[in-house]
Amino acid sequence: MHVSITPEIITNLLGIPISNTLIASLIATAILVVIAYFATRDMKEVPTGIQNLFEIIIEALFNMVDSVTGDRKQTYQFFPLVATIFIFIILSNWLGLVPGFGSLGFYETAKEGVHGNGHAVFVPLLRSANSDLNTTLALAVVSVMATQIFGIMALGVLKYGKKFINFSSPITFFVGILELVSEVAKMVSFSFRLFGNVFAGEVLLVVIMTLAPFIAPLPFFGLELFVGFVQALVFAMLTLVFLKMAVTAH
Amino acid sequence: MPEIFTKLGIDYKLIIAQAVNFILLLVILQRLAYKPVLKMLKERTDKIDKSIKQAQKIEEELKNTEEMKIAEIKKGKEEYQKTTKKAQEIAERKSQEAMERTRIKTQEIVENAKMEIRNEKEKSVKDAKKEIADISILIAKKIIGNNLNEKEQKKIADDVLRKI
Repeated sequence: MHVSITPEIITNLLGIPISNTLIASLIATAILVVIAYFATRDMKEVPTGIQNLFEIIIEALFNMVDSVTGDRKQTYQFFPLVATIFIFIILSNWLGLVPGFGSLGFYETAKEGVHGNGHAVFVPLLRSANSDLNTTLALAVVSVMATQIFGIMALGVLKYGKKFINFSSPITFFVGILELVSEVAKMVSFSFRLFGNVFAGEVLLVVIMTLAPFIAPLPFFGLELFVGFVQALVFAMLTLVFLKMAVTAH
Repeated sequence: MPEIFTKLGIDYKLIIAQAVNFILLLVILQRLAYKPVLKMLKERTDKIDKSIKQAQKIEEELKNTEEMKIAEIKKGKEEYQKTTKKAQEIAERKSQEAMERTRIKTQEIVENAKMEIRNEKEKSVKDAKKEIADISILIAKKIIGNNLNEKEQKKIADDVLRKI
């Protein structure tokens, strides 16, 4: 039994390494796009089926964002990012629990690297997208970048920059430096929290399934479903709060 | 530092790929899902809001109409009562007047009749008196013979008439 912390590279495409987590991300994206297309293809005044489901999800998220911002204009600004983060993360996490993820794959004789001992290693074709630090880091970078962009848009470059670089007094200067560090810390905490939770879940499931393959993993699957939801909510909510803080003048 | 990155499997190409993927998803979902659904939700909210307001307005109007109706009915009733009372009064007055007139006319007729009766009576008495006088003279003539002058005739007649 071996659980690799790094994603496995399946192939290279135009110089971009295609990892199994990237494939999982693409699958999640494709599923969302297809569902969104069918949900909104023929919008009806009285919603039915998939349109209804979509409306419920979007309305719930919209109300959540609205309750935090308390301002309709800001809600419309932040909503797409927050909602996409939530939906993408929760779908990725839950997709990772689908049979086939981590179990479908092939054996490869590694030549070099961390597991390169000359013997065949199992390479899963699919792997929960957020059990790869690259995915979570990408989300964190997008989230923090968006925070900066919205902050600048709301306050202007000078006023927003004053948060970080301020020479009016030694205290504000020091606080500015702290703010700067905290932005980096945000990225790290965002990415490692999500990565840690999902990766730990994967490892936990693998361990339980090796110990007792039947019935015993069931409660853990339930737990992982819950963790997947909570982590998506945490990521989205934190992004939302940071956005709100960024657009609020001090 | 780079060693940590490789150990954690961090690859800037993968990060960029994931970020691009995510941003693409964001844009597509914004176009495909959030915009139309939020628009639909807003429209529905507006519609419901409008409907409720309209219903309230209609209800209010209905209430007003009801009140107006009741007031109208009340007014009509009062009017009716007033008119009826007035009509009754007029009728009463008219009937009283008619009765008064009838009474007067009756009285008149009775009076006239009385007068006529009296006249008739007087006339018949006078006639009877004259007849009686004539008869008396005739009787006297028969008894006494036809030689009675005019003076005597008169005297007899007067006597008879007085005695009657």
